[in-house]
Amino acid sequence: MKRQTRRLDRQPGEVIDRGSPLEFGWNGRSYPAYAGDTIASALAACGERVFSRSFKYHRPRGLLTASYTDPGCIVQVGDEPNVRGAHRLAEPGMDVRSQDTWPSLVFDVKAANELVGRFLPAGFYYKTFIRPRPLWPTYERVLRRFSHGGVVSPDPLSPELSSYDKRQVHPDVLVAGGGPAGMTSAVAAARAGARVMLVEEEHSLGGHLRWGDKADLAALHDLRSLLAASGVEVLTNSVVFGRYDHNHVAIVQRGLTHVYERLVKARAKTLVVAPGLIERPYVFAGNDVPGVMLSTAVRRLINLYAVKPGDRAVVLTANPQGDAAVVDLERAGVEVAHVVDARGGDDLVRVLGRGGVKGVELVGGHRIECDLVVTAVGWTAPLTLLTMAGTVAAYDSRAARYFPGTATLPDDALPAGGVVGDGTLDELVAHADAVGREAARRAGSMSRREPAAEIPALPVDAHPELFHGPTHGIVDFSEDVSSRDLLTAVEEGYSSAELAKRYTTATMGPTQGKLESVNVVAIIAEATGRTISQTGTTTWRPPYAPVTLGALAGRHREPVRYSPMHPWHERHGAAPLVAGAWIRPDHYGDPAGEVLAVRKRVGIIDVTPIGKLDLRGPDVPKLLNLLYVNRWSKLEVGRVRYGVMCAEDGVVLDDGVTGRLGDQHYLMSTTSSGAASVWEWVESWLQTEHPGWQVHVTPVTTSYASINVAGPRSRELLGRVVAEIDLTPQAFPYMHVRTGRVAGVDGCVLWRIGFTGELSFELHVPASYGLHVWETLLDSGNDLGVRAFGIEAQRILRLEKGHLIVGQDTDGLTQAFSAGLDGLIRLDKGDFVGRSELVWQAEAAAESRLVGLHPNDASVVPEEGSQLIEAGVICGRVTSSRWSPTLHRSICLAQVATEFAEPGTLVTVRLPDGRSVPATVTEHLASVDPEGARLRG
Amino acid sequence: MFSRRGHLTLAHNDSSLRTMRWRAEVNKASGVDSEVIGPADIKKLVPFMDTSERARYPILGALYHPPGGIIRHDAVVWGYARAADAMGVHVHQDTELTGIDVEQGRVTGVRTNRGSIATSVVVNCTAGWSTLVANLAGVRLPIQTFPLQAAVTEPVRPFLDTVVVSGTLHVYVSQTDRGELVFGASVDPFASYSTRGTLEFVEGLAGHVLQLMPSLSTLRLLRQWAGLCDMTPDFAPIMGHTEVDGFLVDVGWGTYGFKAGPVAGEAMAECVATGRTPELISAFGLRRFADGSLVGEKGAAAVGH
Amino acid sequence: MILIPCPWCGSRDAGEFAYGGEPTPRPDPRTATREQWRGYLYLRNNVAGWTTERWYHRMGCRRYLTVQRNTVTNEVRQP
Repeated sequence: MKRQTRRLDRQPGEVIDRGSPLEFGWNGRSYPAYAGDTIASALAACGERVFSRSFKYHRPRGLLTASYTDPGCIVQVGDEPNVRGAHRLAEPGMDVRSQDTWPSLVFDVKAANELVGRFLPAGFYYKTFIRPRPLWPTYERVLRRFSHGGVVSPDPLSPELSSYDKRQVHPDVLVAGGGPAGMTSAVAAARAGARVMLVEEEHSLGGHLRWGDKADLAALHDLRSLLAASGVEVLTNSVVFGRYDHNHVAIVQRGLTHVYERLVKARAKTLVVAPGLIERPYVFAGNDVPGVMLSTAVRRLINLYAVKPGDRAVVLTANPQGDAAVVDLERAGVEVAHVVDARGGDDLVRVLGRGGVKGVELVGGHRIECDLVVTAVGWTAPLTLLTMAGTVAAYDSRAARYFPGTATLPDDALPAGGVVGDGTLDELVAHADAVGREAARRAGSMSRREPAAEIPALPVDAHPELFHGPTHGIVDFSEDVSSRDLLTAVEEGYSSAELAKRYTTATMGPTQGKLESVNVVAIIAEATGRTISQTGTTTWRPPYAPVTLGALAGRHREPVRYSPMHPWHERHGAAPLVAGAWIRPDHYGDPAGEVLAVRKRVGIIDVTPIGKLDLRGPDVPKLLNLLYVNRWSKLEVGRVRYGVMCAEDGVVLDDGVTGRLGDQHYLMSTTSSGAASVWEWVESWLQTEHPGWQVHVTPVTTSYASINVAGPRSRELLGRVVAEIDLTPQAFPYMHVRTGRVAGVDGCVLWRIGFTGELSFELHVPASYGLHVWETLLDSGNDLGVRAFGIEAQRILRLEKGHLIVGQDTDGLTQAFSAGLDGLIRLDKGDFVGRSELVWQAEAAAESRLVGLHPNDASVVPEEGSQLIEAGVICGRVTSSRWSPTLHRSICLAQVATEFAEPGTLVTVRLPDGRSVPATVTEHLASVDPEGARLRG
Repeated sequence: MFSRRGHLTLAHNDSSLRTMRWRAEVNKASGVDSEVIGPADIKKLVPFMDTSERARYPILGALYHPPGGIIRHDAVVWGYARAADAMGVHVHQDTELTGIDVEQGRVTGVRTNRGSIATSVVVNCTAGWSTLVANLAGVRLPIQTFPLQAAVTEPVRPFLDTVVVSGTLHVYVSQTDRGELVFGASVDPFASYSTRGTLEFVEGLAGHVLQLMPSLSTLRLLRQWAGLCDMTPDFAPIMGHTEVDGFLVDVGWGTYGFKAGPVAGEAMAECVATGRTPELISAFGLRRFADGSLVGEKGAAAVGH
Repeated sequence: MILIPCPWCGSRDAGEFAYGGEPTPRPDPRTATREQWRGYLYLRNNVAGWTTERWYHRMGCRRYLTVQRNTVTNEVRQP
């Protein structure tokens, strides 16, 4: 086991628990850590400095920021790729491995790339390896090996990596960022009566106070006490990753016990944005050599994790935080060999060393030996949440950073802390306190007469503009893009920030531009002779922090609908068919046998998903006349009628039967898939075009279980379970409806219709009795040979009968005449939906027709979708096809060009296997009983 | 630059399987390599795919188009821009069109925020703003603008070679050479000019991706964005002359992507140069809407509508 | 998710609603020319800015309602 050779004595602000030691694996070796250590801090405490290899050149990379955004320590943890090693806490037994290092982290053959760096210039994706062109596929395979990142597996994940959920919250005030400003705002808002949620990315609250001096730590202690007493809900190790329209705020919460990640969706009345500032790296030669760190990184390592980051340091500082780092380093026993004060114009030229820092070269060529280089050259304001809210970021050259343009701030988002300005801790706290109160006021938590809180201005400190040194270095660490690459892009004409970004891929990697975007803009600005303001920024896009697909998806929740008879279907071996929201029985093992049972004896099918609308009121006939293309005004009580609906463009929308149950009472049926849309369609016409009509619509699709009883012996079967309804052909003829008691169940609707082409009765029974009626029918008809049949048998039966299915035999552009509905359309009945187009369509003659089609070779069943081809040109397609067990031959419906639609026409069907077979257009759509004698029987 | 990966359009139900076969057969009739394949072959192409029958929307088959793939769209645009520039075309970037001058039914010039240009021909080939531009010439287009959103994940090592599209699940997935997964979907549920992106989009997207490839739940989404799509009533583009002489359109490409752009551009060039509409695009004229002869191109774009 | 102000139910997630788009007056079918009818079918103003549109509270009160929305910013208000 490794030893913690670089662990310091106890530090006043340390977050590790020395009483809880643990061990974890790094590339197969065991390492010690303390609870509270991140993977990176534990490894650094053992003296490890290299954690990954860079993307293009496979240069060794160490710690840079020692925070979530650190591009140098992205690792694989078990089956989880791309884990932020400088953020993720070390856990006992964790299996941590470096990514993209073959054959090993220490000896990396791909580092040879660096020697051929000229092949990987700016825009290398766009111009490398292209010529000679025939070799591109080979080059591409090579290129894909360079893709970086961790490994995903096709195998199912462990339960702890596959449990996610979501939570909805409605805070008055949501505070993003748990530094001193965020904590103060949260407390102030809560004291003003608001319900407040505070979200912090790190594992503990306090921001930069955590690595500050004694006074800072004391202030943090006080703030924590205030917050604890305030009733604010605090989420740590959680990030606000998006502010969407209407202040819908997305948070990802991590580090939970039974859930890997949780998506918290907040409908916040006011959002306080207090993310603090991100320290900006400095661009100069060797700035990515392990041992070059930001001042905040060394202060975190020393103060939070008690890790000594090096032995001999050179510090480049341009601000008080950099100066404080010098103090911290010296206190930790690091020899500070030299301080380069950038405020005096001093600079670093290059870092010496490859696998680790060996020294630096100063201006004038003077070299200093060291193993640590610390830079403190300025700050980037992470304004993503505000720019998502429409705020324009404005660059202030005096402070060398962007600020939110105050004129463009929305009412429901308020910035606080470092993104607004600088100042003493007291000034920051006073400002944040006012922001918190104002946020509560705007959220309506205080009396409306309460005046707006006076938000004091924060001072803004001057800061030198420091982006790059006298040499070229890495700008985007995760994409391996250098300042030289950016200049190349500009020289080649990609001179806008957005174009240079796309060309070089700078800012497009896992750090999402947080570290590098301002440097990118500054370097482009300089290269093009423009100011930073003139150059503009690249667009900051959500998510602010990467979020797992699992958290976004949440628990898998996909509603499924079953009919009340579903348990019976399952018990009887039904093959399930997914039909939109419904799971239906496709067949019970023998669809052909099911067909023959219906043709010869009697069968029952569960048709519950058929859409059903209960229509009541005096104006229902007007509605039916408006929505259906056929005539409805004279439908008598006790009758049902088949109808087809068209949209206003004359395209077939849906079909079904509607029956008149009483004087002002109708039951409309729709296709299963059209159940919801037809309901909405009916409401639309009633509410927006004819609000004066008295019609009340109730959807009853699932209030009834629906059973079709079909076959020559269906009347006999039904007679055994119906007492009070006269089923004789004279008393209950075809296309009539009766209501009454079935199998002892009151309130059933029976209509005599025949989708299958047989004598049949469709029963709609109160849903809770569906299974009872179903089983009673089967029990009562044993001697009649009753049998359940599924969707497949129904499809065959209806095809034999030539009944079309809207959406299968018609498509999104099939107008009613092409569907072969000429006989139904009543252009003379007055206005109806789609009539105008149908009138013009009737004048023009349809371009194609739905016809029946029989392949001349009766054994050939052309697959649905097969094309009809004449003289090399497509002239139609098979829309439905099956083997007919009744006729012992293949039968089809087809849409064909009108000139081929005459009965008897010979056409050629091209089968998917390439064969061409002749087929003949039939006289009727129906192949079985075209006269309809059977269903009228 | 063009990466042949093979392109799969999944069918999760009987009716989409029928549509896939229809498309395959039409493709074959036009000499295009395309076929319907079953779940076992899909699993071979995409080992991460859940092809089991217990999936909520089981995969019944797919339209497989082996020559399909992905192309670096930026490179194509930059290539055209460079070639145009070399041929003497003036490209004015960051220039806003503020007016189109029409006299007696003819275009005479355009006005911009950087000055006016006299011309007798204006081709409107914008997306997102095509109706606003056409309005400047007094031409109304049957177009509504909807955001189309997309997203990428962090990079992982290559595991997905083919492009996968599911219309039922409204999702499009491919893996770039850089290792990122690129996701697309169908357009937003309501018209808008917003390119800010929405949370419900990434939520739905993630859910659908995980239905297809359940072991990807630890993969992290890195970036989401939105572009604007101009949708026509028949989901087909509008190309050719308009009622204003000299004002031509090549608009309404909706979710097509840019694969038909080059050939459409050539046809438009012929339109401009000869004043005649080439046969190839004659069915796509603006008049088709007033004439009631819409184009049946619903299946042409990669993502279902 | 943006919020749609339903006059009956209050502000609700847009996901509860079906988008109805710009209302277009139906021409008198007795007198409408093909041009007019197809304008009604296909032409919308597609405004970039404030527009009036219809939404259907599918998962709520099932009423059609009219909302003003800015298609650029997605701000909404009741007409």
